[in-house]
Amino acid sequence: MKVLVVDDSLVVRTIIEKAVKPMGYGVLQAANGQEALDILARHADSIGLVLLDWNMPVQDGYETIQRIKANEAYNHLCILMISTESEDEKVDQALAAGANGYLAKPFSADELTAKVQATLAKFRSQ
Amino acid sequence: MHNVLLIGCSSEATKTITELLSDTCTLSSRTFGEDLAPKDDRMIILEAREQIEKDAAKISRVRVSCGFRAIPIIVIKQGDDLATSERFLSAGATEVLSLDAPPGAFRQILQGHLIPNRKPLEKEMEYLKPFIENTIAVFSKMAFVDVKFREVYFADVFRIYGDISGIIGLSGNSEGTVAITFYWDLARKIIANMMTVAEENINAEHIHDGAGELINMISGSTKKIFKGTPYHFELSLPTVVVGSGHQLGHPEGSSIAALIFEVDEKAFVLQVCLQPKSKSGDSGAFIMENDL
Repeated sequence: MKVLVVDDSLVVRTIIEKAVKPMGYGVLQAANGQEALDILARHADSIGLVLLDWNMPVQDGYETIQRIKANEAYNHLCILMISTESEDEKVDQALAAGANGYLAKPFSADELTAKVQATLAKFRSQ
Repeated sequence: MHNVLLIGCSSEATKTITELLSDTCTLSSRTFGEDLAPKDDRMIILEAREQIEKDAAKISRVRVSCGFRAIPIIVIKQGDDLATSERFLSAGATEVLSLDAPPGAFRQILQGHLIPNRKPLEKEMEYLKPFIENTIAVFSKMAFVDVKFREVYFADVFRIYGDISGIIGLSGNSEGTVAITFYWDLARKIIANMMTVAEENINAEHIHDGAGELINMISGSTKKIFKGTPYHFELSLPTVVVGSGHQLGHPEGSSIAALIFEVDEKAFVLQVCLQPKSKSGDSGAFIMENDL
């Protein structure tokens, strides 16, 4: 299974990739929501998890969740939002739109891997 | 008595300054060298006596040694060539004065620079403290470094003599800007730590990107704490400015809090300019008594 990391920050994408790869996942990267949808259009079958930032240029994470959820071909995707937007109403908004989990920045590598495991386990049990 | 440090001043310049300031200041002299870091000096006076670029390089090194503290650097020189003065100001000088200036005016200008910057009121620390705590938390969690908060002061105009700034615009209940500024070497160390790679593998793009992400995380985690208060704000996407001597625009009439931090004795500064809107919706002064 591959993980699609979507964040406009190259530094954050690298941090996430370094934390996720040792979990045994392949990693693809996108710098905004539109790039993520382009990658999904070509590689959706091999991707199981999308780690998605909220505030990004071109297309933000919230709109990206909505577009992913609007496409039945992407029903197998688990979405974990990772954002500096950590207020309760933002978390609720993302979960209501279809995100399966939410992690606030800043985060440690341990927090990220634990959240990935918990979110995937919950998604698979549904 | 204020401590004033003279660097590289000729005997003639030293004599002139002593005559002007010895009644209110304790003067000490030093040649330009490695140990430039000012201790409890309230002002530095440096005489420009070489080629312009050599003097500008000296001014820059003295400015860096101040570690973002509000220490005026007064450069004295012969003549009143405007282009040279501009070059020295962009290198880090606070004011460039000619030794030919009338002694009364010279003294008045120097005394003016000895007025200390305003420290925050207890009320203002209420909104600055979350920025301090979150800056320390973000650096600890993301870059594995121990950040020490050193001091805070207010400035109406704040020219940044760092190499790179990550800036984020704030809007909503409060408006303004928050910016983090580093010198290049500390920025490289921090970003290398974040990415867990050696410093030699960090390029300009990484530093540019990382400065923006750091201010994004500091502002975002602070925003959550301000929920339900007049200080609450919405975030814009971060922008990054590179180059020494840059200056940020802030809402008119607002004060800028400069929060100085250190990592292994290398300083960086967080500028916070946060102006809650008054209840009528207009931009107003800082928070009113009963707003919290």
